[in-house]
Amino acid sequence: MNDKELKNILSTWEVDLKKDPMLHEKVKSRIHEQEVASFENQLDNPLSFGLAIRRFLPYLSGITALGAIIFLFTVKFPGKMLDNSSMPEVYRQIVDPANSIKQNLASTEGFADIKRPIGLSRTRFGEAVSWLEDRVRLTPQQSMQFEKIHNEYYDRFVGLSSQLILLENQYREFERLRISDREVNLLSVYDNLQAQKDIYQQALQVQQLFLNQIFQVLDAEQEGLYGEILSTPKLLNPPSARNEAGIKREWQI
Amino acid sequence: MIELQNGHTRALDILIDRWEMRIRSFVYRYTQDVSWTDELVQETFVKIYQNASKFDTSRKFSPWIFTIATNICRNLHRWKKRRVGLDQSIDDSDLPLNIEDTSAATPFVDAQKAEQEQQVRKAIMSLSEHYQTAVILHYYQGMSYEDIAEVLKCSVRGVETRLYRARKTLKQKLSAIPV
Repeated sequence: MNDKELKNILSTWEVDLKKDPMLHEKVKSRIHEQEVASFENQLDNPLSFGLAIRRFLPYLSGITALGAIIFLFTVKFPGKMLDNSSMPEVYRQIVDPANSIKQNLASTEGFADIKRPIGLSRTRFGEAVSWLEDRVRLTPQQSMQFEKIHNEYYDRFVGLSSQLILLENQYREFERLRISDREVNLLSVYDNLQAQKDIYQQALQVQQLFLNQIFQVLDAEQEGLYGEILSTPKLLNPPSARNEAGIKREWQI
Repeated sequence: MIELQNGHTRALDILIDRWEMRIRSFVYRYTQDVSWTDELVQETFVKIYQNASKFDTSRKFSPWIFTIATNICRNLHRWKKRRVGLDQSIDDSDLPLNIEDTSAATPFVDAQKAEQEQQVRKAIMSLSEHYQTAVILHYYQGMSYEDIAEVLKCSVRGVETRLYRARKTLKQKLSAIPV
């Protein structure tokens, strides 16, 4: 076989990939997430806190500086060392789309658009899964299965979350129009609510399938640990979809 | 790129429009894993944005962007290797089939084409990382030896050697395919 023939053979490997219409949005959202995470990390990092204190030390009175140091050594440092509480949160944001969106709604003021949760990035989710493997004390064999299940379900969970966010933001747009006394297509509102209800239901089903598979990998003790860390019963009780009676009253449907 | 360095985010949109498909096909060929492709493509553009100020505008853009993409793919490859012992776990069933069927001749021709494609993918995957990157950049991205040298941080002569050895291995592995 000569070089030209090799080139011809290699050219038989064609890929027909599609453009991602949401790529711009996803990239910008990740840039924003990383900027926020890096800022939070700086605040959480005892070293950078120490540096900041040292930088400002000349401007602080002796008593304030002492107070700051006592605070760091009694609250901040031990908290940092012991607390890894963001990991379950990151994990829950993925495997529990319904509750995660619900929390997101609660923390967003008025009818502003809700944002994509930070934990939806695969990298952060991977970190949370690794962390969980350690905490639940999985064997290497179990870890492989555990990761495989998570990889299989990741796209479905993220897809559901994205759809819920999209629909919720559409709904919020309707609310903004209503408040500003502009015309709203009530049929579209109804369709939106119906779609939200369907997706919440779908999220519950996917979550149950996922948990069934996870529990098959874990032994009884590990199952207990998993449930304890993630408050699993909560996962099995998704928030009800919007209160339909209230919505109908509000919108006079 | 100059616009991006000046903080115009609109420039990022233009960059994504222009480069998405090239980066996507590179990442897919490198990882041969559809589920990771989206993630790595996004990460590449995030890194481009974050490192825009480091780009020397007097130089060519394509080697720089492919260096970023290569590093990201390489990191994933190493991470996977550490996590699940990738070397042992890759077998035929792990390699995805066609993403989308583009041919339409006959079932026999389709099957033959899919089989041939599978062999090509396996052969490329079996190369060591440096050879694999050189092959993908040269044959599928049409890059010059000079540009590849910049991506791989080696001399042009080094690229020639890598491609020579890669060709030799590929010819052996693909010798069963009718020319």
